[in-house]
Amino acid sequence: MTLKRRNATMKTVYGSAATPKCARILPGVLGIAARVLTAFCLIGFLGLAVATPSAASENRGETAKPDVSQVTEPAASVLSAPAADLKRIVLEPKDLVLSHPGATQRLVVTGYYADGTAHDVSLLCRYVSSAPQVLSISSDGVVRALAPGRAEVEAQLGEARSVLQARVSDQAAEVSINFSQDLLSIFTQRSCNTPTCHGAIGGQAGFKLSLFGYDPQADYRMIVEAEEGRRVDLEDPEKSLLLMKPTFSVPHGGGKRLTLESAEYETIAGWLNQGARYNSDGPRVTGIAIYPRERILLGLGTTQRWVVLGTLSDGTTRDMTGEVKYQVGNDNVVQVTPEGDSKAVGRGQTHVMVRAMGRVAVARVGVVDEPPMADYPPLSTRNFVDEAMLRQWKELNLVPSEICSDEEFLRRVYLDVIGLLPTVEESERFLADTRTGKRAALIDELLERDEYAIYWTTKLGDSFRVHQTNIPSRAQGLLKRFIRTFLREDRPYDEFVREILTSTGDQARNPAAMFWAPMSNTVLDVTNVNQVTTTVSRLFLGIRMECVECHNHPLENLTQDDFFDLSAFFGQLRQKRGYETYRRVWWLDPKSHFVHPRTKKSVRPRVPFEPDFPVRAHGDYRKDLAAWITSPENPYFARSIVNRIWREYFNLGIVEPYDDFRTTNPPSNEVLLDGLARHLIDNGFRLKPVHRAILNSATYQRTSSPNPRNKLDDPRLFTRYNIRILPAEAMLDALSQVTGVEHSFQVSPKGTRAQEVIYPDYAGYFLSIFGYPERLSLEERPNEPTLSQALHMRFGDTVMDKVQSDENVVAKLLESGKSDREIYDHVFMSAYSRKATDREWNLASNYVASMGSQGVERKQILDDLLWTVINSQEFLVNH
Amino acid sequence: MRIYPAELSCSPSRRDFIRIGMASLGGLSLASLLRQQSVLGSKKRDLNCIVLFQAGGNSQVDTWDPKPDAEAEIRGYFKTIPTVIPGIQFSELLPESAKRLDKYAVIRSMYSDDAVHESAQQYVISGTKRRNDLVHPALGSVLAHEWGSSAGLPPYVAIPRNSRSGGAGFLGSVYDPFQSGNPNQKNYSVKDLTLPLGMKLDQARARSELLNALDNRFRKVERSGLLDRMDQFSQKAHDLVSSPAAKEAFNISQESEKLRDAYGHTTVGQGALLARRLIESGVRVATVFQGGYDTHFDNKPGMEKVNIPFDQAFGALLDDLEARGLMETTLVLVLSEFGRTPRINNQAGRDHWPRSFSVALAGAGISGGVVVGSTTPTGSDPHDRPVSVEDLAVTVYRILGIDPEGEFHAGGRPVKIATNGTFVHELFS
Repeated sequence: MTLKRRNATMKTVYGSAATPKCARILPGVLGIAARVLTAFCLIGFLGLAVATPSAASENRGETAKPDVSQVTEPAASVLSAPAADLKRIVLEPKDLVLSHPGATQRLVVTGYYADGTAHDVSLLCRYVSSAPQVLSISSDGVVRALAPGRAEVEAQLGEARSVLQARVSDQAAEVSINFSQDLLSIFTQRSCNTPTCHGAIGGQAGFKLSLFGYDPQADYRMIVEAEEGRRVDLEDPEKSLLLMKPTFSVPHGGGKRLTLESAEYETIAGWLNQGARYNSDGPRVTGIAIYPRERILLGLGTTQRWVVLGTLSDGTTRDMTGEVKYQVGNDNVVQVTPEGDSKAVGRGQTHVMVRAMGRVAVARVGVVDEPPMADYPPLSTRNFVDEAMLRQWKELNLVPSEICSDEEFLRRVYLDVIGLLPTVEESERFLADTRTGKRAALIDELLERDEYAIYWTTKLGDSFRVHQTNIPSRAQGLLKRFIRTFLREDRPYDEFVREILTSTGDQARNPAAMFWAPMSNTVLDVTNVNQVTTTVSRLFLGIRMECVECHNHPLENLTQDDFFDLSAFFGQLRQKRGYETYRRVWWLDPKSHFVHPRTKKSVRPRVPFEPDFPVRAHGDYRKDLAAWITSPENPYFARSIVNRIWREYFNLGIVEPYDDFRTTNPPSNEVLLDGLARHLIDNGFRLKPVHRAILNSATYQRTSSPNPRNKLDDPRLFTRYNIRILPAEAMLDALSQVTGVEHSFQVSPKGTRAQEVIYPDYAGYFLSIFGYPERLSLEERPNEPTLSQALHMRFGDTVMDKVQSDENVVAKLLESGKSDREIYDHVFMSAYSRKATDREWNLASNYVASMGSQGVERKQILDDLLWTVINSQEFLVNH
Repeated sequence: MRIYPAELSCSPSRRDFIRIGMASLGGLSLASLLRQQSVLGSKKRDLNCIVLFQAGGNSQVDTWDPKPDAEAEIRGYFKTIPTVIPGIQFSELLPESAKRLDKYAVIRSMYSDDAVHESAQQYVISGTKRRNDLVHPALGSVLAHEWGSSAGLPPYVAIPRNSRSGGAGFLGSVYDPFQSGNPNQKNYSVKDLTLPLGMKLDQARARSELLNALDNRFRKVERSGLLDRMDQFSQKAHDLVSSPAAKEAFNISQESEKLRDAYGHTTVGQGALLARRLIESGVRVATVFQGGYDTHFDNKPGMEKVNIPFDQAFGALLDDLEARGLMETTLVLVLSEFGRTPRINNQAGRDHWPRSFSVALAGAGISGGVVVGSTTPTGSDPHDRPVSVEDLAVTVYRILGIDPEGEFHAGGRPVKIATNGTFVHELFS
């Protein structure tokens, strides 16, 4: 393969893309037209050859070297651009090292305007190359290396300037096509190696590729060596199955993936012509970056180009814009073509992710449908939470809901913090209180109540899988007490986690050691190290390593070996039976080591992401792991717990799923997440300050009722409180409280709250249909409505026994001589923390009158009213 | 949630067909091969499923797989009786089952590696091993997801209530079973489908209207998809309660006394009868959970207490399905999470034993009289033709016309309905 051939390939990339690109960009440019453009200079679209050298214009800045520069006029000219509006432009990427003459690189220019908007102005700029013999530039912003040397490229728009530095190297006199780089890029880009195609565990139709190309050597063997090399034909490359299948020259289950004219076809054919070598000595991609990193697009239909720059191990850069796989978090917001051009399709925020050669890069992109409001309503910011939200809302042109009423706040904060409804007395006291700062005072009061610790133990209990299956009931009480004490006293979370991660001994004496129980087989007395690894990484780092257990992570830079290195920290952990059957003793066997399942060699523990983090040679390795995990410098630890807390309050994490932190699953508001993590660390890892910051924020205290502008907003933008069905324990306790009839559990004494019971009482039907988890896995609790819930709430015995009881709230109030209206108001205050409106009372009193005239007893009629309240949506959800 | 269902074929792939073809050389007759093809090949099928789950772990040695020649500590207390199939013997606890072995098949060489009730049950009934991060949906939940409901009835019913193994796992609680309550109770009426005593339909309607008025106001203020979904279920609940068909389906008292006696007045007996009644009315999967098999102490009375009622119920169910012509369209499974120790312990009981256990399958074209596999002389391990839990799951899904390789998207990656198993073709020999 010669340089010439390579050039042909590259030319095809841009040549073939030129026409569709024109068609694609046109409507997008029209989108901006109202503001920026009035006419097009279509000549700019005709491809590479348009770069016409001309003299530099008079208004160039002082960096100009007029005598040697090449000026390329804009692809689309601007006749009436509001030049005064433009504040600055940014040309990206900033530094290029083109590997050889002939190499090209696409650029992107973003213009920032005085009104706060930004636009893709790549086609509007004129470009100047300081050394045209080294580097030329086309009007659509693609540079081409011509000869070794250095050059500057300047983009110009109005008065604004932006410069990049480029170097052209000549180390690649003969550029070879690299399997691991060029071919795998094509497989990824054309979706050949996805889990539903040849990337499936068993491959597809006998042909298996590694998932998203994580294992280039295996893929090479599969293509070149497997089945006696039938997939490649070096004598007649174009007859290779590798080309005939994807072009559908022979039947292919995956359909036609490549055309004969495509650049990819030429690349694969070129590789076969070169002898189908693996060429692992060639430069490897060490990183990829996407430009611009962040953009807000104004107006539906607006276009944005993306540029992906690969950094190679030989120090050169490479344009990978057309070689990566694009993915969008929410394609109702933005859609992206395989060539890296995107279009705004809906209001909101999302991320554009690119992936190639096991590397990922992410850009944040928002879409607004109108220019930023000049008269954005003044919103109070009470703390860093509100500041982070406000910044995002303003940027995305969102107006959040109003601050909620005292009634709404009161009910919400009780349910969220202590899992109970306020009593009628508590509600009346709070609502009558006229002091300012009463909300903050209530928050402090609730966080100091025992029920805060009890209720949040049920949440941590899900993570620790406190369940009969894993932990015998006698021991469960000890573990629950251990967690409760930590919460009540607000012990530092890092200390708590270190205690757990380094625990050994008899679980009856050291309840922290029960942490290992759910990952153990209590019959065989074996601790499953792989489950320990996945549990620890998920709970304390927010990283799911389950897929790395079997293969390298398709989306992250995590490998199977990283998984085994982490598992090795727990290689000495052993368990045995204690004095009684329910007692387990965990101990460390210094002689045993975690053994690599394939190599059968013992593995030396190593922390993920930080290979140089020191780990002791002997002794309890877990201490070093715990130190690394809980370090304030660990980017995952603090963020994962604050995200978990946030999610309990807003029903969605800032990262969602809340325990799935990945580059490809970025936070919806990074500033907010970092602010909360910082707040935790600054407060010595105590959780209550984090609760307080969230609960006191205006963001938490907004009504769940939407305004006309935010009713369709993505719930992850938190412009209003996200409503949800009450969790199982809170639902049952609220039901008992409002009806005035305590729940009868099988074993626990009368008056025990659902949030306090332990096995077997929680195995009840009511709790199970409202999502009380079996805690067999780390799966989230279900909180979607079901038919069983609807039926049981309406007609089930749990509810009927309370609603029809002779000792319920209705009976008691009747006895004390209350009127129907007084009783109805009491039930309303108890269930909703508000009084009934006159309209509501009118409807109810009509029912009372109508049933009364039919001879139904007064108690029964009022029980019916109670039934309607506890079956109403306002009762069933926290809002 | 499901991804690419359209691309998944529901019939055996070409490779499966080749495998079946090869198997025929080793003993499958052409007739049975054709039969197997006709069972598996037709795409549009309208099958239902009844599961009798022996929760706690049934003792294989005391039931389907007796060891009369083993020493007393293994052989146990029960004598061996012949079945209708020459050469096959069961324990005397299963006389009715023994008489009807020509109508169903038994696999004696099942094995598992999980000895904890909850996770072992979950393994057997979902076909997938317990995982740290996901709970795999039970067979019934998968069928509910794939088939949906018919005749306005819930697609998946657990009788009398759900065991922890029977849930929808990552599919979401929408696919959890509807729970019937115990049909063996006096004056049984289905759980949650009945108005409170003394309430007239008019009053119930007026009460619901008042509730709707409260909700309409709230929905107008809050405007959320969640509330709309809740409202749909409320509507459905209302329809079910006011539908005579639904109540009729659960009204077991409509069955003749003679038939009720035949099934036996036990939870499993009336449960099996209710299961048949529900299947007839439009329910797609009914699982009868019968507890009490966990006989760590005093194995003899323990085994009698559960297996005698089971035997009566199973025999009656087979007769009943046959009499009604439902056998061909109903797959009946008798499952247990594991077996019990072949050697009787010092408390006269038997403990958990996942290394070998037995299951039975009937209907849906399965050949009667087939006994797949055998265990070692002590019954401790499969001797030949070991069948894994995964094999069983793949087989069951294939019989029911569901591609086990179909994928759900859960926990951020594709998860197959059932995998790592091979079809137990002997069931169609």
